[in-house]
Amino acid sequence: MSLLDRLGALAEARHELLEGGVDDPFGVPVEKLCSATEAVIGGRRVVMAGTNNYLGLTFDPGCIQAAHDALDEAGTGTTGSRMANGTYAPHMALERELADFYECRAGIVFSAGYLANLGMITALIGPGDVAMIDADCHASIYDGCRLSGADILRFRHNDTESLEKRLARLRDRNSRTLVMVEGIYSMLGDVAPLAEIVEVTKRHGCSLMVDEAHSLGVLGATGRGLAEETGTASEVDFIVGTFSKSLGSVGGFCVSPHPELELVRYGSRPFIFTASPAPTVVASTREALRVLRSRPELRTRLWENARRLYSRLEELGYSLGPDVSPVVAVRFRTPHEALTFWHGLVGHGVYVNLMLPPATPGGQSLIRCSVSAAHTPDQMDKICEAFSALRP
Amino acid sequence: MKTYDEILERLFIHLRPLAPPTIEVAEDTDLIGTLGLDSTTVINIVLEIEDEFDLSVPLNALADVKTPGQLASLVHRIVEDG
Repeated sequence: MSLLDRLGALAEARHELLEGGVDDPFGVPVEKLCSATEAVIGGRRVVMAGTNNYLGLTFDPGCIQAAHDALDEAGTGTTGSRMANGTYAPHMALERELADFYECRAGIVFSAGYLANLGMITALIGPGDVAMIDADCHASIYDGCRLSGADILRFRHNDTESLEKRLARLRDRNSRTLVMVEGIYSMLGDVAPLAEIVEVTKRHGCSLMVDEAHSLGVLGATGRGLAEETGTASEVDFIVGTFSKSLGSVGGFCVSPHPELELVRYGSRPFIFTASPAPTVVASTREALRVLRSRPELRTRLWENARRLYSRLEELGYSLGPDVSPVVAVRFRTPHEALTFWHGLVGHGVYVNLMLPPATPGGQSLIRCSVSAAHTPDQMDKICEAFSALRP
Repeated sequence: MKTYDEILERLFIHLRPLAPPTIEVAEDTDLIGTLGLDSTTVINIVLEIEDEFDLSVPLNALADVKTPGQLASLVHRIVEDG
């Protein structure tokens, strides 16, 4: 078998999915962005309801202006890693601002959310240690664990009893165990039972990392995420997050009450061997963080929209994820059924995400919507009407 | 203490409902090539086995597992190591 033959399996899977001549739903080119919630796809204007742009800040005038100014002042890119020539004063300012926001002692910025998980996990655990992960964790957590060389154990999704049993079996390895969960899970939009997870993890003497990628700007009194919402922030050892959702840019971060986080800079290969975030990215992210902190009304609007979509789809009889959140996932019986529905939504002027196995938990076929604070009442009407018109 | 055969029998119970009707699941059946299971399904079966036998199977150890027999051997080794 040649190296390229490996790709044959992908070609076969693609062919099977697209049988019947339907268009490929993956990698659909967005021809023009009109706003945080509208774009042109296939020559027609659609409402974007699958962007994870929870606060709608990609088109915030202040964020755009900050990026423009940084472009003029510092150029298009850093052309270097943080350890070489790629640490600019604004990178360090962003790290301080994140640590301040989370009331943590240290913060570190990565060039992507994916790299934040890879970088943190590989810095914290290695061969002989244990990575204990929720079965539905994101691919970046799985990949980080694989790269670390630690023993990877999984517990059933959001099941504290399953976690408890597995930690009990570890006995004397507990102090070398990193438990990893997410705030809001990206596929079904369900929320981790974090208070219980913290209790079990700490009772067994393990460390805890929470990925707040989908909960930053969404949960908590000040938008810090699920740890804040559940009053457990002081007991979480590491909070990881991304700039590519609520903060509207690209990049990742980790904050921690442990000052040792600073040392990750010297031992994390995904941090060391990557060019640092471009000045425009850092500038718009810093401004977005300021907006997130100063405009709680965005969170209020986001939740109004989330509740509205979830309850309307429930009313229409769709099978949804278990929790109301800005990620609203609709379950379908087969990949083909989900694909047909996805095309139907685009036909009605609504763009969402098609999520198919093996990327989905339990091999489910999903249509995943994510709502934004920037969706207007009219846009929410349009999304709800499209689902109503296509009801099976 | 569970024997290799007992573990294999439990695996068959999990695998048979997932196999195509024309395929008889055996010790050396290819889990992915013949049964058509994806890697996610295989690691979910491992979750079931972990709970049944009260043990932990590191995901890393599954990389070389291609058949029910190999999975049973792995689980049996973990049982023996206590």
